[in-house]
Amino acid sequence: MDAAPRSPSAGRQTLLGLHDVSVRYTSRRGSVLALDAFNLEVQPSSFVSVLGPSGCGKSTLVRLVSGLQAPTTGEVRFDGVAAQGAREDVGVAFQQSALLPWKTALENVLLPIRLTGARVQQAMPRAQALLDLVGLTDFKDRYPNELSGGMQQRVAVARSLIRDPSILVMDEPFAALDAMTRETMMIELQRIWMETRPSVLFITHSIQEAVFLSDRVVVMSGRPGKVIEDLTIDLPRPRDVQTLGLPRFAEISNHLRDMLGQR
Amino acid sequence: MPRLLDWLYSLTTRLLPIVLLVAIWWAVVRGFDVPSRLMPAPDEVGARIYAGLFAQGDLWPHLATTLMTTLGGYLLGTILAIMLGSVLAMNRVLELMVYPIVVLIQSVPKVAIAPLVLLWMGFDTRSTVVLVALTCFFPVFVGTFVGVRAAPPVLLDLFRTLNASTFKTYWHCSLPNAAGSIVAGMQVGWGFALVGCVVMEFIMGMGGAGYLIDNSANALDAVTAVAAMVLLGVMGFGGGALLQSLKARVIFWEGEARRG
Repeated sequence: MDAAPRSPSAGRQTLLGLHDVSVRYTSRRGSVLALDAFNLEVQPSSFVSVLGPSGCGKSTLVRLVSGLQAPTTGEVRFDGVAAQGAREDVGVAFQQSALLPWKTALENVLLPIRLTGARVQQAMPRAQALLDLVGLTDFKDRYPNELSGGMQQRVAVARSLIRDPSILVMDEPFAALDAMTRETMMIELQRIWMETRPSVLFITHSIQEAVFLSDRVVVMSGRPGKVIEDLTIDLPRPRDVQTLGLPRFAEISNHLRDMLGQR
Repeated sequence: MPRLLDWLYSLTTRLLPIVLLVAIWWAVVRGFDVPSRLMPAPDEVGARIYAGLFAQGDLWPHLATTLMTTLGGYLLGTILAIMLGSVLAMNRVLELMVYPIVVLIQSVPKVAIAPLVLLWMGFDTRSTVVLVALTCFFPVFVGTFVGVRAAPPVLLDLFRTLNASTFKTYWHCSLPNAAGSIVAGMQVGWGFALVGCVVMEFIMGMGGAGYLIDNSANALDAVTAVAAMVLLGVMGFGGGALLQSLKARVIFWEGEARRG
């Protein structure tokens, strides 16, 4: 297939950069190389998906960027500066919604503010606005066990945006949802992203989600994880349900499927 | 209306076995003509309780003593247990250093320490409070430790990405997560606390339900002894039931999940 032009283009500034990163896990049974000589750059306000088979080091990638783990070798850089530990300008949405069951939706969204010791009252309007944005205006006083799985993930997304991050890391956020909810959430996420415009590093194993949402799709090989494809998605935005039926959508999807199948 | 029927049904199923047991007790005592100085019949015990609580009121002071002393020791033991359990659960080094000592102390039966406590603390309520605190400490400690440690890894990851301090992680995540486990420990602890109190009252002989049982049995007054026993049972059961309802209220999120 005529692959779309490769990015990143030189010259544009880089928000997040992983440079020759490798991660080795050592346990009693030996050591595993999860990522090897891994390079990735994410530009400001761009939506980048990382696609790969299970066990390719996708979760390791999340842990690196969210500061939960340091690379064995190489560097993770934000705005060109090597980073250590968790950062305020990185929002994280996990595979499970990771909400506190004893706090309401609104209180959960405010949690990052509460933990920094900042004034919760001052962040209240923003929290309300984010709940509006994710479509949960009427559910702000509900507890997580009163919300559906999709609603719980919406709260988690609102929470990850409360500190106005420049990059949002999403680790298969829809993996635990049913097929119909996933499709709705996919379209919703595009809308939320187009209104807030952080960079997004979206980890997924769904080709459909990756193609639909992304400016760029990065395909990883199996362990140790390496980038084997870096594709710019040239479908116009906003994309909607019709986009899923376009020949170009199928073409890109098939190409990615081939890439994944090779390894 | 169906709710009322449900409630009646559940009440009858719970009460029926108890009523049956009392009936068997009554039948055996009356049927075999057991002398009441050895084992009184339920109606005698009931009459003694009524007299002791309402007509003569001679049981009240003993019950009040036992209840207040047990409550005091229970509060002390529970607070210390929650504090130590929390600290050890949040700090690996302290866990390695202190946990074995706690287990070591626990493996000595508390009742065996009672005379020593008396020796150290003196012949008054303080000794009872200390022994009660010791007896109820361990279940609450274990409940706290296990509960705090059981915080879901994904929540701990979240708190790490938010740069939360150890204390804030404990306060906003691990402690609320442990609430159910702590209350469960407290339920077990309440029963232990009563044991500690009664044992000390046996030894000291200065009043309380324990003293009453010991003294009445020595005086061949089995009716009073059994009455005091029953009232102790009510105290134990009542505390447990109170904690159970507290649990449902405090840990509201562990109720039925309504997913859609």
